[in-house]
Amino acid sequence: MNNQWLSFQSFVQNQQLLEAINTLSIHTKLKLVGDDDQGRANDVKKAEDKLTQFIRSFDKLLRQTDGERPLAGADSRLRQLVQDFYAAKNNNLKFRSQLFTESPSQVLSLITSEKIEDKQELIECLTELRMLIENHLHTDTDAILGEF
Amino acid sequence: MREILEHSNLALLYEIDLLISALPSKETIADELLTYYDQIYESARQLRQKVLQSLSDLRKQRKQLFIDILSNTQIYTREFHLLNYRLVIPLRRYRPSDQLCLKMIRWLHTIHPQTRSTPGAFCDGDVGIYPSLKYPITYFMPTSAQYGLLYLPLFFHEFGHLLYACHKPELDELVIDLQKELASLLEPVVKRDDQQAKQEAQKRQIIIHTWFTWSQELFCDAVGFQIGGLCFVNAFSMYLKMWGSDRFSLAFENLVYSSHPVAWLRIKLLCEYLRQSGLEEYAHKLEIEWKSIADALSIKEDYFGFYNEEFLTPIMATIHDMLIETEPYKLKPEKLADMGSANQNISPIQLLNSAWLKFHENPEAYKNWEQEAVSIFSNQLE
Repeated sequence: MNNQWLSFQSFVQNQQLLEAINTLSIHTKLKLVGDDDQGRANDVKKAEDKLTQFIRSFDKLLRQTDGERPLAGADSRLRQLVQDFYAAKNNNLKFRSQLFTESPSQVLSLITSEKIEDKQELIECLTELRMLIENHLHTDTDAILGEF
Repeated sequence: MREILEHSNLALLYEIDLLISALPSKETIADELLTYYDQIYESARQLRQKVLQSLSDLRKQRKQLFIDILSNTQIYTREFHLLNYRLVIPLRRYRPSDQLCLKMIRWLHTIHPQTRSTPGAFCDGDVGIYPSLKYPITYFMPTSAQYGLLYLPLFFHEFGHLLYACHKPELDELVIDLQKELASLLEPVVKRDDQQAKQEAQKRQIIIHTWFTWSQELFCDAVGFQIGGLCFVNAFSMYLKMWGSDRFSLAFENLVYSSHPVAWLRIKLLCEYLRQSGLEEYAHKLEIEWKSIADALSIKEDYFGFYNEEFLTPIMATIHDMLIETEPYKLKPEKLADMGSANQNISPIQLLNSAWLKFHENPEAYKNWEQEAVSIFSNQLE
């Protein structure tokens, strides 16, 4: 009996997350240059929901890791992502957005904000979150699709 | 960069079209695969739309979008590989002998309200599943096992992963409560503040983390038992007991963050379910069998802190709650007792239990019985 189920679920979840990040990033960049990007409105709403849901549950996990309590409610892949997040937080040359300098929940207010400076900060956060997830996805991709 | 992205997306679009045209025609596949086919076709069509959107985004001539389009192109390429390497295989490989497994999967999905409209299919491989609600469900079954009845109950364990995915938020909460309970059981009576105490605290955390995934595996075993009863226990035990010493014991380092509990521990819990179902004699026999092999291998039962007897009550209570939440199918005991012969109109579960009875009665004569039973069963589920 194999453990592909875990890699597969993690692979699908992270692929969806990356897609949501990109949808929101493209939309925000276009809005900043005056393109209202109406054709993508439904996808943007779904992307916002997906990201909000992820950030809320991820933030909950991060809050658990304060002190010496075990990280309950996370499988090995999600736990690795938490570790990757902390490693990135310590790498302030590469990861400088509010996502890492403050907290992931900070991104939630940026998503709904109409201020230009918030939209610019949101793009930074999304770019760095994408880097984090793309690095993390590698293990699942190898497990499911192998290497050529 | 614009040209690189444009050519990559056009190449991907072409590959998607080739894949769609390489799908077999619906007339040549089993009825059980039709909804699977429809979902794969729809996934490929949606992927095509997304690639077209990327090409449209490129035409906006905004350099600041290139990094997002690059990432999307990579996502869509991986998604294409998933379809191309993995998910179309059940359709491309289809042959009439696949019908036994396909009928069993369809029965399993249909009998549960949560999965009634979820398509399922299978490929060759070690027993496994891709349980994501985004795609149709692909199971894996070893080649030889697809042609007989004895190992088909292992599908029930894999189906447990799908049930877990359907009820994930509620089941995760139950597992979190279990993790907390196990953590309190592992807490030392006397608290120290030295290096050794820190190492022990770290070890306890590893054990608690590992139990998150182990809980899902034990839940799936319980689903297998609830659906299949003895046939699941027989299939599980026969499938795993001759793999080697690692099914009986693993070193601490190998248990750390492992995905599955050691098979011997899983047998221990299956024996508990057997006892709860009044099958004490069978539980005893199973325990003796595994202990005999362990003794022959000079293995002493030891889970290096990952399990102790105090864990049993909270684990059993959690799994009980998980079963209540997910409501896996359970054949009425009186029906299970009436297994008769394969000539009667019997349920898949009765058939699989009959198979193991016949096998234990006379393993050498089993082959002939199975061939006839499979033929009757396949016609019965038409």
